[in-house]
Amino acid sequence: MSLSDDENDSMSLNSQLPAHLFGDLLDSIIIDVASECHRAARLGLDRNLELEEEEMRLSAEARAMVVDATNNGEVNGKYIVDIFGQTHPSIANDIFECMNCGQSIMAGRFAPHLEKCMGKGRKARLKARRSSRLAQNRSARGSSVSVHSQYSSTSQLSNNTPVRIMKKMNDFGERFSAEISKPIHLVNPLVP
Amino acid sequence: MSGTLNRPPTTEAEDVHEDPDLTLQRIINAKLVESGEKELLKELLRERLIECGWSDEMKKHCLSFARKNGSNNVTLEDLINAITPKGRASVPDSVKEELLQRIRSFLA
Amino acid sequence: MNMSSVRSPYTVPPPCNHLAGYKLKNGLSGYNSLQESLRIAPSGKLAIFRPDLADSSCSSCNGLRTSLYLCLICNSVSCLDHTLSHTRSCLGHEIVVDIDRAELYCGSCRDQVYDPDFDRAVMCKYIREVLPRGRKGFEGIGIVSDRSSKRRRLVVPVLDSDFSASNQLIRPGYQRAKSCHPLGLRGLNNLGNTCFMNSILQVLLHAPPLRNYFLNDKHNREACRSTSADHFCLLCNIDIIFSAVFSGEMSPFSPAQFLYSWWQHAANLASYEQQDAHEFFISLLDGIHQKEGKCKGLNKDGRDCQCIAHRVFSGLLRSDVTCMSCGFTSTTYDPCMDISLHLDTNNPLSADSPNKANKSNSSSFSNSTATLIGCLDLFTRPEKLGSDQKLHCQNCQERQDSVKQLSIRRLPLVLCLHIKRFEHSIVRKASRKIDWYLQFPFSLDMDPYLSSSIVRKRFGNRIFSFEGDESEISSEFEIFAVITHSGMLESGHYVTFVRLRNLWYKCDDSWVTEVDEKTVRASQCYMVFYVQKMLYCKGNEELSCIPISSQPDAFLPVVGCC
Repeated sequence: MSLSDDENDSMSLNSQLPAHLFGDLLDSIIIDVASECHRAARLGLDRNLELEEEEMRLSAEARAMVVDATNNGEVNGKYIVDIFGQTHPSIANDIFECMNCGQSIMAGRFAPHLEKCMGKGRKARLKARRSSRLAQNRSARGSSVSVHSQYSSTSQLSNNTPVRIMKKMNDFGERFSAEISKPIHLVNPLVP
Repeated sequence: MSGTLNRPPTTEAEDVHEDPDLTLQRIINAKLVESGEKELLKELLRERLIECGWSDEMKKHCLSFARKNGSNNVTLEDLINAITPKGRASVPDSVKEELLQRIRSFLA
Repeated sequence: MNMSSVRSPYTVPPPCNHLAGYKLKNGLSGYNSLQESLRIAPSGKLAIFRPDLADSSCSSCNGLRTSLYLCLICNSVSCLDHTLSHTRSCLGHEIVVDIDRAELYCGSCRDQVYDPDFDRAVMCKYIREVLPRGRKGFEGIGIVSDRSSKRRRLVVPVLDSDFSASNQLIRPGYQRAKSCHPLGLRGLNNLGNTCFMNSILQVLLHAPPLRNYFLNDKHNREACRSTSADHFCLLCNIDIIFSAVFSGEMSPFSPAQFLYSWWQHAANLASYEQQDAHEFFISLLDGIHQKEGKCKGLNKDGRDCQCIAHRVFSGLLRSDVTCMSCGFTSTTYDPCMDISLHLDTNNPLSADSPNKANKSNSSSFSNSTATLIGCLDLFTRPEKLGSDQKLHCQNCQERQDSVKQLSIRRLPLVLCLHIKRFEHSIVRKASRKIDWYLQFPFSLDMDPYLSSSIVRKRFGNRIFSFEGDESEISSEFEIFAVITHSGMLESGHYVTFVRLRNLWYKCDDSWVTEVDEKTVRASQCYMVFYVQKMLYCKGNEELSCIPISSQPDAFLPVVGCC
């Protein structure tokens, strides 16, 4: 295991020495790695590489096969029937009553309705801000503001990360919402 | 076993020719060790090799070699020999250059 | 309660004859006297250091060598070649110490050898050196006698139902009887850009411990309603969805009441615009926590909270910050409901992205796929904090460079791994979606990321008992749900794959279809959900089936699309 020097002595020392020292350092780290792995192997601390490799193999196989696959009951990305043999419209057409205003509404259009109905959402918030600037005491959405602040104080449910993400994503929301504020059925067909 | 420092018996003693280059190397090496620079350099190299994925790659290589040859049979020497060629060859140029730069500035 | 033995974290290899002989003759005195020469770098790296070794050369050949060995009998220092000849010529001088690595080496067997007593001597040095200065820094190290830790018991976490011994392995070849599907599969209507909500609800509906909770009526709607005036609470609304989905009814369900209730809870999220599923997940758990906390007067800060959200999803993260100057480590613990993982943007696969600025990463390791395992490795890798983040070291009483390392102190029953595919650059003031494929395993062993493993590794994997070795929760997990995101950042679509009885179902709003496991493996995961293997196996047994024989002809013409 001697990693002895194989350098050419005839080379000038000045150019040789740094490279030589670098080689020493590198060899020393190579031995560190080998020594660490030797210990892990002997103590049985090396993790289950078989399992990991088998999982890798299955995934690679799956990716190779799925590229051209049109199985799974889909044709050209469109479903034929679900597991129960049913088909579904692209916009859910159940009709039920809005629990806020009692109006009959179609399932697939419920969220945008409810947003307006409850006076929530981005537009509502903007409106609220505007109106509160105009008439601070007459804001109709005072309750939503208080819930908001209460919410943000309880984020210690999780570690800090999600909270950070939450803020970040809200920023996106504001940034990108302008681009998707068209009526829902005109949005990219991928959008549910 | 006591604290006394015995020189080992020189059964296979080679005649130690004092190569001037080797002497210089020893002096420089001693300086590197004394100043703690060698440790810093090694730490820096270690860090860079972890960052670029070299370390993980070498570990994977070691462990799969150990697995193939039986974790209880493979010797340290086997492992070193198994990864040395690849380990030496696959250090990114940028890492090598950074280290050489630091070594040169120490020597200057 | 099931007790079964769990794999010991390590096996102690038997000593070679030479090591056994050395110890018989010399006892531990050699190890103990060596302790004085051990030097510990702040990083945790160990070496033997003595003034007389400073010129790092072999006493026989004066050559500079990468590795030097110290004879435990005569204290001579030699390169490997001369160590081997020394061993041959002096009987009984076989055991030497690699001075750079503080590892035992047998010159006769020509191999590194291991002795628990040697490792203990090394660890005692660590503890002596660092403990008096920073008692807190060694929270992870408990001196536990090796004997007690060898036999460990696994206590299966018990939730709501008593588990009988369930060592049943997953049967890979298992096929469902063609006439039935597991109960609980039901499409959820999209109410207008609510796929983010449906995708999360499908996961919660099939998370085994949560399913048990609601199906065993642990949230009593009647009792709840009597206390909270006239409207259903958030948990009641979740309970309603569980009832609806496990009723056997097959037409898609509209979670409208839930949405209404949800928007009442989280007013800031009330908008039918695109939402992030992960954001929704976290705030939904928060909602459950708040609601249950209010009802039962539970611990507010989430630590050891017994609400159903915490009991199922909460784990404990450990964070160690080590001073690079003195090695003092301060440890903190934080509860977490999920783990958000960075995609390694240094990964060469990012070459096609506008992130080419990394100077040192254009290496030859380019043909590897990004993996979830790799993300977890990155998550638990020591991270040098930048010079702008210098932390005040309690021991140095100064601001010092430090290294931070995360590990998992306690695993949750259900592990949610979230992949940070949405990247926001403050510099470029732009967001983008990282849409690389990320490989994820179906079976996941979290052992390497546990605090006990991480801390053991930091100290060179010495044969020594660390606190946390006696973990009562198994580290083996099985996947049960994957949420994928397709499309763009601002207008994409979420779909959930759920795994029931080892078959996969794709829940795409109102559409539930059966899919090949390959489809799942090849999908672009955004959130991956694992459950403790025992609970997964147990859950599979409990799932009852519903017959589908009375269903209309399965080959209808193409109608639906979305």
